[in-house]
Amino acid sequence: MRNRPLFAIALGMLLLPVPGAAQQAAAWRDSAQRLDVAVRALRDSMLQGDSTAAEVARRGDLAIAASPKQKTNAIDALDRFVRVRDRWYGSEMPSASGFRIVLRTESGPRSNGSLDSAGAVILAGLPDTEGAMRTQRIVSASTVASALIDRFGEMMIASVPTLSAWMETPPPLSMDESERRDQAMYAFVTAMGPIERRCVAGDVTACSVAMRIRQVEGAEDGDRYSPFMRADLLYFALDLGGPGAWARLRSAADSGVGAMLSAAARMPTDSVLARWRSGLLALRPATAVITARSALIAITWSAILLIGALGASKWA
Amino acid sequence: MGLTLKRIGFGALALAAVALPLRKEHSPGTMQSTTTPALRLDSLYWQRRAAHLSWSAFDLRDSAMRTVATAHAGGARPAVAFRGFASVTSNAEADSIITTLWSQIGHTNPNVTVSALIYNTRTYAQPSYIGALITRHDDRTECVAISPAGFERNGQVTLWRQDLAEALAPCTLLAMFGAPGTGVAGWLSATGYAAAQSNLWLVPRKVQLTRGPWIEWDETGAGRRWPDDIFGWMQSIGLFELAVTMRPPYVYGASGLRCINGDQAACVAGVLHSAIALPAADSMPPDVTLSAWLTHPKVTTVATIRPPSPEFVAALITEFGRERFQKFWAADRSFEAAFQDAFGESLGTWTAGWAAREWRGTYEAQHLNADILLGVTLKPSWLPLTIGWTLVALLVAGWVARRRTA
Repeated sequence: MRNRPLFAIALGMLLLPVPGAAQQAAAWRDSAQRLDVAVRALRDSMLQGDSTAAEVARRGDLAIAASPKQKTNAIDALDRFVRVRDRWYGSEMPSASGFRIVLRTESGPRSNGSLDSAGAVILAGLPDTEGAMRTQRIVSASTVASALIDRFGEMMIASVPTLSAWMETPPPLSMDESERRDQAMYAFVTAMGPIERRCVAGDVTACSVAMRIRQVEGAEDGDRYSPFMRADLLYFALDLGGPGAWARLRSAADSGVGAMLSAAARMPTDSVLARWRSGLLALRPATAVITARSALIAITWSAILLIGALGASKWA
Repeated sequence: MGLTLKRIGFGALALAAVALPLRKEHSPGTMQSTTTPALRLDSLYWQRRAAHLSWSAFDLRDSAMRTVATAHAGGARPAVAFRGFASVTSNAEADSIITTLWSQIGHTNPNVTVSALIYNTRTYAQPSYIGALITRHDDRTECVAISPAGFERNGQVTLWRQDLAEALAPCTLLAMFGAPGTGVAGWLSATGYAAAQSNLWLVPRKVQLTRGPWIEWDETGAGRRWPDDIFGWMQSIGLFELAVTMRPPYVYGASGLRCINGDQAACVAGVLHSAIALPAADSMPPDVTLSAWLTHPKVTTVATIRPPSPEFVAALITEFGRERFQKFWAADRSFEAAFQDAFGESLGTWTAGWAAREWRGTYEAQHLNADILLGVTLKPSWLPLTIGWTLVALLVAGWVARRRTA
């Protein structure tokens, strides 16, 4: 070091504020840790469930409990949950110890009168023992089924850390499949990044880069598809693979996202991407059509304005 | 008597038609938790989030100060330090970003030291600080960009390129133009460098869409509405789409909208007197930069003045060139005086033009509606109510006319 005295002075000056900042960092760290403990304790107590909830139905390894006014809602939700779970995950669970989803229902201003009440719905994937994955939410009574499905989807993704890191945000498992595909198609064809445009044009390697399956130097963050698109690809791969797809995906968890999708769909990753791309392009509307709804709206407004323009005297 | 009653009845109906849209409505989009444990949990979540942000900011500042101590002033390129990654001393993506930026800067100011600190996001587990530490001692300025990265199982560090690029943005300005003069320095400190967090002046954007001229702050409290707060039948006859295409971008606030429409005083207010709320010195180090979401005031209404977008300073450099910007940047005069002197036009004039251009480049302006209607705009319920009551009035007039001619 050429300027040792200067360096020493500068170092001393720079280090002077450090003790104060270090104390503040330590104080905030302690506060954050105390709050972590408080959050966990409160969530655990809420996850024990509502004491008025009693078991109302079972389907195989699933049991659902509900407070009295949510009984019918809970049974309907369980039936829908079973259909969705079987469709995408078969009999798989996020953990060998099972899972538990606790929903506290509240009245929404537009909720159906028969559902309009506070209560609790608790769905357990048996055995629901000590190591079970657990979560809890406060939802509107009319959205219990969707909430159970979405929470389950989150837990299943979280049970595979590599997949969870790739997905970033939980996929919309309760979303209607055709609506999801339509939204994915729209996002796919309207994306503007160079790599995304190459994917649309047919470059499967570009698709894998845009999907964050492959890494390429120089690609900007704007050249990546959103988590929603990755969710669509995941469900497409599970659909392609049919029964056992999720179990195969999880068995390849240590080999990366590409290998997981390939294992789920039982075909090479590039083939999955190519089929996914073709499937989305096939959903594009062929021509702009006038729908009955848009025609009715146009005619109705025209009639209303015509009546106003003509004036009442014409009808008198 | 019968006719009088009918007139009174009709008048009452007309009054109800006017008063109906003005009644206070419940905001269904805001889910009001009624259970005490839920309220307590919500509160704890927010407190925990804030505590983690403050912890990470102070802790990373400590680390950044140690990085400053070992950096060399006026170096060819910034040094990169890693924290929380065992035996990681370099990262290709970080090097790539820095190389791209520094090759565009060219010759750097010899009194400015820039370095980067990349930390393991798992250290704090929650949302953690991203930005830059900027310190000044006499004529020396140090800038440390602080950015997170993930750690893959195979030992690879995964960097979020956009985060590092935005964290470096204030540092690139300092490296190129040196320490700011009193006017600009005061403005930067008062806003946490919120409008100086873009490198677009070095690396132009690849897509044509712009970010918009002002920071988008949603309104807080019971006054906010959600898009689905429309009766189902209104959606079925296209009223919702009509309302969406007509409404101005309220997230810009009244001042931002007036500026886009050419009100220069509103433009100046947005740049110089925005409602940025800097955190207290004990909850965030005072010498770090802050993003717009960390300076969001607790209560935001349409009257809250939004600050300019992070690309404001970059836009000045792009338009006027580095030489004139250097004159503005280093001037020891008030912000507006330095602006006028260096660029030859007033802050209000230029900002009005810039805001209008930025707005027209957004997705909303290009694909929905570029016009911004100031003043009273229609509520979706007014159209069917107006047309409905017009029909009633026409029917009544026709009936009365028939009676008179009978």
